[in-house]
Order: sequence, then C-alpha cells, then structure tokens
Amino acid sequence: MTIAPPLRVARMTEGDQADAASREAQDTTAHDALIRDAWMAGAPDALERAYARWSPLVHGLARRAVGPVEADDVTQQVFLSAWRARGTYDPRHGPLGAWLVGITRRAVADSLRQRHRSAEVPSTLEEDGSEEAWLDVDRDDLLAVYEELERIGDPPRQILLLAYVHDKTQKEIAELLQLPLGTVKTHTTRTLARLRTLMGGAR
Amino acid sequence: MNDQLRTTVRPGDPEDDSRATTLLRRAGVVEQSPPPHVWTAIVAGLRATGAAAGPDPAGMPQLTDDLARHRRRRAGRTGRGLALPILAAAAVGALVTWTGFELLGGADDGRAGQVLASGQLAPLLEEQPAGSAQVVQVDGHQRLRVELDAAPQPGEGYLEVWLLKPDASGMITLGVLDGDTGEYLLPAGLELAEFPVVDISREHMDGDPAHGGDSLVRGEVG
Repeated sequence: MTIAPPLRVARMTEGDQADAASREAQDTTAHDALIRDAWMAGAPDALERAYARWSPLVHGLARRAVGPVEADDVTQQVFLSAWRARGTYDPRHGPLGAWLVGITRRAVADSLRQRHRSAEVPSTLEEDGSEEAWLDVDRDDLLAVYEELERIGDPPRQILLLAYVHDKTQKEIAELLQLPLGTVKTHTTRTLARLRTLMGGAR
Repeated sequence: MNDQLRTTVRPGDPEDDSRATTLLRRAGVVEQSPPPHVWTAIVAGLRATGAAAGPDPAGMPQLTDDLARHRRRRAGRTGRGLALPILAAAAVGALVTWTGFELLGGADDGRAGQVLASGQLAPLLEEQPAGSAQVVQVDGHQRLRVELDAAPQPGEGYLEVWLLKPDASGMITLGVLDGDTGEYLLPAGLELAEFPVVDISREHMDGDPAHGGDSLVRGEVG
C-alpha cells in the first residue's frame, strides 16, 4: 500500500482569521436582526436560522461548562425551551443571542446541580490542558461574560474576543475590523468597565 | 509575533488580570458546532410536543429509529465520547455551521436522493473494515453516506470522516463516525473533484482539530 498517511494540516492562518473576523463584523448585526424578526414572528424557519447562527456558541459554552457529553443535551434543551418560550422573548431586554446564552447559563446550572446531586465525579471535563480546575462559579461567570458580550454586540464584542481570546493588539484589531484605533481603544475600555461591573455585581 | 511588543502596546493591559478577561483567556475559542444528532433531537422534541410553527414536519426525516439507537448507545456510555471536536473555530464566530443543517435537506433513513458519485472503501490497516461511500444530492444539498462492513476500531480515540485531496495536501473534516454507518452534509460549493478521497481516521481526544495522521479506511468517490 503506497498511500501515505496525510500530513497534519495547518490550522487557519492569522490572515484567514483576519478576513473571517472582518467579514463577520460587517454582516452579523444586520443578519442577527433578521433572525430576531423571524423569531418574533414565529416564522417556520426561525428556529433553524437561530440554531445555525447561535448553536456553535451555545454548544461551545456548554462544552466548556459541562463537558462534551452533557453539552449535547444542554444544547438541545436550550433550543427546545427557547422555541417553546419564544413568546417571552422581549427585544427591549437585549438581542436574541444574549437571551439564548442566558438560557444556556440556566441549563448549565441545572446540569451541574444534577451532577452534584447524583454525586457523579466529573471526569476529563476539561480539554484545555489548564492545570487550574474550573469551579462551577468560573463556568457560570464565563457564561455571564459571553451573555453580556452578546448583549453589547459588535463591534465591541468582537474587539474583546480578538484581544483576549485571539491575543491581538489594539492596532491589529483596528486593522482587522477596519476601525480607527481610537474607536477600538474606546470600545475596549468601555466594555472592560462593563464586564468589571458585571463580575463585581455577581460576587 | 513579538510578545513583548504585544503586551506593551495593548492599552487594555491594566485590566488584563480582570476576572472577565482571565476567564475569556482561559476558555480560549469557545464556539463549536454541535454534532448533527442534536438538531435531530430538537426536531423530534418539537414533534413530540406538537409545537406549532416549528420546522416543517413534512420535510423532516424519520427520526425514531435513529434516536432510539442513539439513546441505547448513550445509556452504555461513560464520561467520554460522543460530542467531539469537529473543528476548532479559528476565527471569532467563523466556525462553519453547516452541520446544523444536517437534517434539513430532508434526508431520511431510506435511500432518498440522487447518487452523484460512489466508490469502494478499503482498509489501510489489518483488521479494519472495507465498505463503500456515496455522494447523494438531496433537496439541493450534497451528502456523503459511508457504509462499512463493520465498525472500525477507534482504540482509545474516536473516528473522524474526512474528504481529502488526492495528494492529501488539503482536507475537510465532515464529522465523527460512530458505528459502521454515517451520513454527512457536504459544505455548499464543495468541488468533489478536488476532494475525492474519503478517509476515516482514528483521532485522539486531545482537542487538536487536525488530522491525526492515523488513517484506517480510505477510498475514492467521484
């Protein structure tokens, strides 16, 4: 057999990330508003569209919080209960994404409570290789941060993620999002202040 | 990248140790598409409760068998497995979400859809199974169906299905294979002629989204 095993493929390059981030910045807000309108109208495809848009975030947060196996159940519960309770969504209280992350937060809390009740030992939950264990309060706070970021929306949400998840400098972010450096700095300062208040209030 | 420069130019530095940013850093890239069966279960859940204005039931697949199988499997499962990293989102929110549409093409347990291409799969290692793969067109979406004579042996890890360029210079992950059959939605606009090789690999639960280099079964479609 002469078929060589495939070589490892490189991840997305920095440039790819940049392009993707920049494209996303321009599109998300308008796109999200369309989904919100469909959702509020109870359109037949609204759930599907909301799922396509936010299930990676909901599922990703659930994975971080409860691990890969239970994350499937949490994701399922979130979208099912959100759709059933769609009449209670009020856009004046925030964007649809924030509402969904809020529901995720409660579903995660339920899942963690159940786990503690059944005294099941959490096993290999983390895949990030960090030595420091995630406490339940860390998981909840992480979800709270993401909920707030969804509430704040783009571009501040993106700026924060690029800075603290993707480790970009303010200058790099300004270039990526095609925003003036001053705007990026202002957004960063304001958003950090808002998050600090959020975390302070949660204590 | 110059780390020193990076830390000196970021005006957010004083807040770097704030709780929110610490958590964001620790969690890393969060977004990750759920596996297709999650959407299946949502649709089934809506139908079970007769929820109005849900996804159109007429276009929905026959789910009961799939779900029952899935639940049986889950019942015997311990802490790991099942929902695996499909592809780590490299960009903020840029993870492809097409897996969410797995069921929306109207595929079902039957053999619906027009066969566009097919081919045989052969084991690359001893004691791994042979099988076949087809690309079908269902409601305007291309799907890859994989059927093996037996479930490949994932060892300590899990199985992942890929489409490769003939020289393995490029590849697309399609998802996790559980058991001996699987069906995967192909990204819209995919040129099958460019990625004609179906590859099933053994992957480790190491969070690394790249191909582990451990191919078990392979064959060409198209």
